[in-house]
Amino acid sequence: MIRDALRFVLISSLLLLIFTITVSANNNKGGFSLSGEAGLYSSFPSTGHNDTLPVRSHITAGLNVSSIIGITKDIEVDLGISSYYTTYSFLYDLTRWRPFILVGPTAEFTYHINNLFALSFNSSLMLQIYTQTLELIAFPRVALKGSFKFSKYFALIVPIAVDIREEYLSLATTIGIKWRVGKYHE
Amino acid sequence: MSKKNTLLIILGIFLIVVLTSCELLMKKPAKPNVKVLLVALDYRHNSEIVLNGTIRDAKEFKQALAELNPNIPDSSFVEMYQEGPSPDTSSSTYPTVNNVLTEIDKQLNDLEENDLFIFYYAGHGVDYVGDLALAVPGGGGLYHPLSAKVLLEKFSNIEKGHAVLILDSCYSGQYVPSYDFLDEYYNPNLLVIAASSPDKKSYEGNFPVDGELSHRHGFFTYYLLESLGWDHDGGNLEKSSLGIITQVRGELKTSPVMHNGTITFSSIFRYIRKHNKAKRPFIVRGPIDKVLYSEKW
Repeated sequence: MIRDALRFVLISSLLLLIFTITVSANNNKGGFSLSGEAGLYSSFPSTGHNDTLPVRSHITAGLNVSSIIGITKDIEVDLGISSYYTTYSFLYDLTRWRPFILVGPTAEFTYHINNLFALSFNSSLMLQIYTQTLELIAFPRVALKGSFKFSKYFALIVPIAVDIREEYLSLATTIGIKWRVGKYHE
Repeated sequence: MSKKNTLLIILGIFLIVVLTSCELLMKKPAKPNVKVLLVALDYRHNSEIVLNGTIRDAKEFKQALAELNPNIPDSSFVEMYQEGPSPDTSSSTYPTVNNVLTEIDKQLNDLEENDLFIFYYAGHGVDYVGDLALAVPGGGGLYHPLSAKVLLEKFSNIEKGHAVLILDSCYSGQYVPSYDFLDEYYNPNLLVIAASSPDKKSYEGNFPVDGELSHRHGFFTYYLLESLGWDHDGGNLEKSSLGIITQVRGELKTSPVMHNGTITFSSIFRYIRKHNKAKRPFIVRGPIDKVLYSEKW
């Protein structure tokens, strides 16, 4: 599982890097950002799943690359791609929820509260592949992301994302680092 | 507020969220009892439909499970075989439709909350509909069909415990319910793994043992055994008497699909799918998987 996850992260990184370079080449006014995050993924079973637990917990980790396409004094708009790997749910009884990969385009609107803090609303269309069964589904993800700039280029980010699947909801609570290259509005 | 304090608060919130995950807080569930019903037929009574790998499939699978999980008592394995040229057709373990359904009822009624019941079948699947081709009472005839509908009605009603159907037969994908709460046969406590899609056959083949292609198995079960770590070249030699296998060849080694001491059925499915590319296995879709074995139980 770890080997699969590493392979996924490497391939994703490469794709994201290519994307970043391509977009940024035509975008000398904005810049780009690359962020990595990891944390807990909570699946909330519906009654149809007849689960003994109210929540199934997984570990999740992912990467996001975005190109900054617009900046005003307080607002920033980014477009990019996100990818995540989510592990099997923790072992509890005889049921485990399957691991999966998520990949999808992302749009992010950021409000800069001040020089240090920012709040973002993030919306994605995620394609999900269960790694064990190769089943493919698509669903929207929305996220709120707090960020705390602790150096010129780096910020600590705390995203809380909700995956809206047809049968159940999931919550991803992660923490990560964002590397941002580009100007701020002056 | 300083940068350092802000960082500490954020990290603290994150740690609280992680540590409050349900699995870490809930009382550890009871160690599961595993029960296994193995049904296999070689159809030796009719030369036109003989299968030479099915009994070996079932017996090696039983041995692999017993070696994998020594906590399964021998009494938890029920074997129902039509084996050899003159099986005891009056036995309650002769795999007729009635005997098999009676045993399934008994096993399902005995299931407790965290128990696992594995139903394994190796034999013919009736053309295009996938009915299990079970023995005719009293011997003779070709087979008696057990339909997907009847079998799934039994299993889809389970409320306590977990059941896994492993079917190595043609068209067995017919037995895989849709991941749809409106599907009358979908039950999250039931997982079905089938050797073929609903419209495809599955096959037997000869596999190498001691450098010779002489070891007959269903393709699906061969890779199922491999996924558990079964080494066909190891262990004792296979012995048989009067057409009945009395000792299987092979021994259990390290499972390639065991991660952190745990084997899940989807990991097994993934292994079979990867190695048995020409014959596509089927499994219930959706997020829910079942655990076959864990060292942490």
